[in-house]
Amino acid sequence: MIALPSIAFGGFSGSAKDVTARQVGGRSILSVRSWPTGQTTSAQVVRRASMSKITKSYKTLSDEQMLAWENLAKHTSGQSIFGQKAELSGINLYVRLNVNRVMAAESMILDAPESLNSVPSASYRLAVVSPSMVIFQGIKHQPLPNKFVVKMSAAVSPGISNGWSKTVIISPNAEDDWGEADLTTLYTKTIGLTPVVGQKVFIEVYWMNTATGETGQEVRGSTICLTDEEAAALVGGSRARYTEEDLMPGSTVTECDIEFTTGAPVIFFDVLSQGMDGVAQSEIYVDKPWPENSRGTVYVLNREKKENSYHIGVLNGVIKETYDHKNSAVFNAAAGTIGKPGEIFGAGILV
Amino acid sequence: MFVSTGNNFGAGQIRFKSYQAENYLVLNANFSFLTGNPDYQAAEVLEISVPTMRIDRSVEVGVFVGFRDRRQSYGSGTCYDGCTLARSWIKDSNTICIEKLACMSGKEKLYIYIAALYPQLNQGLSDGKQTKNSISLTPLPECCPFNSKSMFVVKEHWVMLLLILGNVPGAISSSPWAAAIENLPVDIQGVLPFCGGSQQYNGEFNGLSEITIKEGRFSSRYRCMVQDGSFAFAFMVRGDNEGEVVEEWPLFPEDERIRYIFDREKQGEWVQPGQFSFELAQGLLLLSFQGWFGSNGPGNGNQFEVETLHPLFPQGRSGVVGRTKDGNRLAIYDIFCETSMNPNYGRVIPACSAPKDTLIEVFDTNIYTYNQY
Amino acid sequence: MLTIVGNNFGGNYSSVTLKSVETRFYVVVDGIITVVPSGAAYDAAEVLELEVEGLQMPASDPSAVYLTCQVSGQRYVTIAKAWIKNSHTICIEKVAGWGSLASYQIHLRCLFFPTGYDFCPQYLARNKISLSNAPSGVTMRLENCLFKEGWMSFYVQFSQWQAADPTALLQLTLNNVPAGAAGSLLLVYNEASLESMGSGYVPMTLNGTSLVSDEAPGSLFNNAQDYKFIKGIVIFD
Repeated sequence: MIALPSIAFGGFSGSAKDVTARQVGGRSILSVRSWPTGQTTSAQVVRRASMSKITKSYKTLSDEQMLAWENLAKHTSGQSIFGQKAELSGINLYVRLNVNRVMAAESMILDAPESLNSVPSASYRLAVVSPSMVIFQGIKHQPLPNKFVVKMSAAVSPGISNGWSKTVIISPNAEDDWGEADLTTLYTKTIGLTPVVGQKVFIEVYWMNTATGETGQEVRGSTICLTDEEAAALVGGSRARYTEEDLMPGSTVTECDIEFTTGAPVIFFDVLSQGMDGVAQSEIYVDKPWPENSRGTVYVLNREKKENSYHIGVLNGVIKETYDHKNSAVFNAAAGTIGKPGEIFGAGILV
Repeated sequence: MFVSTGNNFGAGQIRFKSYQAENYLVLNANFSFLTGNPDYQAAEVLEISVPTMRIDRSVEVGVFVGFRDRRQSYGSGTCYDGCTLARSWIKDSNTICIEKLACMSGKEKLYIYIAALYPQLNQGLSDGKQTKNSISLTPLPECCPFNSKSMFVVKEHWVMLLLILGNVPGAISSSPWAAAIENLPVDIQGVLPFCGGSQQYNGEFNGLSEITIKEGRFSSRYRCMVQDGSFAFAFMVRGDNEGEVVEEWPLFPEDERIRYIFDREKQGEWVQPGQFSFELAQGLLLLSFQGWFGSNGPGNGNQFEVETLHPLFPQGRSGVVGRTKDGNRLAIYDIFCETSMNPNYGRVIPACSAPKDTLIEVFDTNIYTYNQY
Repeated sequence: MLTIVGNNFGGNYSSVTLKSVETRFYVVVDGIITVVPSGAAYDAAEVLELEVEGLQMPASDPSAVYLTCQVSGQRYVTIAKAWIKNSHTICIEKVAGWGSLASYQIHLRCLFFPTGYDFCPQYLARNKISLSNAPSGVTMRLENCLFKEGWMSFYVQFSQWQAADPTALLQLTLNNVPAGAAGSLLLVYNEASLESMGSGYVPMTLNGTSLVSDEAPGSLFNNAQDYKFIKGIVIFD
């Protein structure tokens, strides 16, 4: 896939390749059937340059610092630190940890950490790839400073069984959004090609402790590129969430994050309401239906967001489909003092 | 029930009641701390360390943060306590975070009330509509019924309680409230913040009172700017009450009791020793005087300076009867408290009817009346 | 009303009821019992305990109750510590030196309440009283009374009270005392020759604006040099 302005790639010749052009998000996208081998990605170029610089920097360490790295290496094994068996020397450990840190946009560490802890293995439930979507779901969350590293290949023939050597780092430091990671933009930018429906994408994921650079066991997988419609159906049905992107005209909120899929008998709110002139009311209209069994009255806390004014109250919000088929949530004051603008946040109970 | 293992803002040990589901928590805790301590000053976010919880993160929910401000005003002690909300979240399985509010920076002591449900996201569709119970009170209180939006939701392990005040008739608005709430589970108990309206001295906050929920009853001893729409909003844990004593009528923290304590060993020509306390209590402004002192002789005051003026201890007078320490003779001890807010000055001038240098023991109670000058 | 249903010192109070006014925050009690300080039960009791019915308050701070007796024609008064131990027990201290008496009275007439509960006080001004046509030799130096519906706290000090005739009843007329304020009070005085078991007192009766002694005060009353005082809690009939 080539985005205009283009990133150069090789191996493209004549009519043997199939090129189509599409508009995605206002950009013109050309897609090709296969990814040329033997080429270096920009991501790989950056990584190799860092490793060289980091390796050279080891010689600038003091004797005490080098000794500390050697000692640490003796007490650790590659399996536990990088998920792979290997003998480690002090310089190996220094380079690998710092390469990982730099990749995660962290600064280098010159002093060896006191100790290293094993990083958990990664797991996820679903990886969905389509020409306009690359989404992971059900990522088993690990707390900071762990971040999710995702390596993926371009789409290749479904007949290829081992394409993990072709994976490149799509994201060195993803933070999952409650088990989800949307890597569409990063994939597009890194790979430079649109996945083709029916083709296979290889995946490797692992967690990295960005404070030390340690990485966990790599987990490998693959997925077949779906059509956009198939992908949307698979992804969209699992999470009932409404954000600014879903707001329709008439909404009097400027920030919106409402989610029904808490797994608890409450609805989550994090909304910034601007209120309305002359009416103590706040209205939200969204372009997709509310979930089943979610029509009713919700009670949730509100805090005024104004300089020198911190009044609080309870709002009651009526969630429904209006007579003219709008999906609405209209909030009125139920208790306390409702100032505007107001932050509507926390767990709301629906009755 | 669990107790915290530490915190980064100088509070003591914090006791939590909890219900820990697979993907959410309900937590209840009340605690206070002084903001002048260096840990609080240095903290950007208030963090409480706890034993490992069942979930390792949550979204942000609201907890109540309040302060005390009680002053003498127009011949009464008036409560100007205030409150607002702070965001709180589970940071990891051993850490509960609370937003540090810049608006509270000038308050000497903060009171935190946690009665919240901490959910996660992307855990599957919620249960949907819950069954609500309306509020029916027995007996119907002298004043202040809760309005029709008030309700509670009963779940197996917790109760969500929403109490919203209806009309408050002024004539009886100073009466204590208490009543049973029909069908409210008896295994929830605790002190909840009751958030009122704006107020004269802390107008940027809501007024703050407290109500006690215990054995299916609510009770409230005093009010702060309570008016139509004042409310309590709480997720309360069921059970998990072992070892927890909840007074129907809340106690003052020790350092807030309306009390003066004197401990003076020195005896000079006209300076008498004494170890005694006298304290005001609810009702009519009642005085309890306990301790002993030396008499300066009939008509001679024995002045004790008040170092820290209690904002609610008014000028006034009372009389208590005492007994000689080495015998059973009686003396009357007249307590006259003189205070001034400008400048901040207070002095207790007790005068005893016994001969000079007689040691008198007092363990008496009486009315304390207000003298306005 | 509180009913005494038992005690730990051998007393018999089956016919005794104590007047009471009870609110959530305080209890006013008014009643008199006679104690015979002899017998094994009295000797064994460290603290005198009255078992009562009708009390709701679970505990209180100590308050002072008067003990009175008469020895060789002289009336003596002292105080003992009293407190509510639980919702069915009132405790009274045993006072040294009074255990050898044939009998004495405990005037359970006091305010019981607990301290430490959070509240926001309502201030009350006193009901200012004064002497009407003060007789010669009587000077009320201060007063701090509060007349409530059904009971009162009565506190006055006299810088001097010389009875014109110590063999006659004492009589004062007061201003601003409500008509219904009535009950018995103790006028306390100290005189050097009194035994160490207590102070002297003159029993008084208040009936609205009239304050009259029940008997003549006697000569020691006039010899007493310190301030005489009345401090009493009374529930009206």
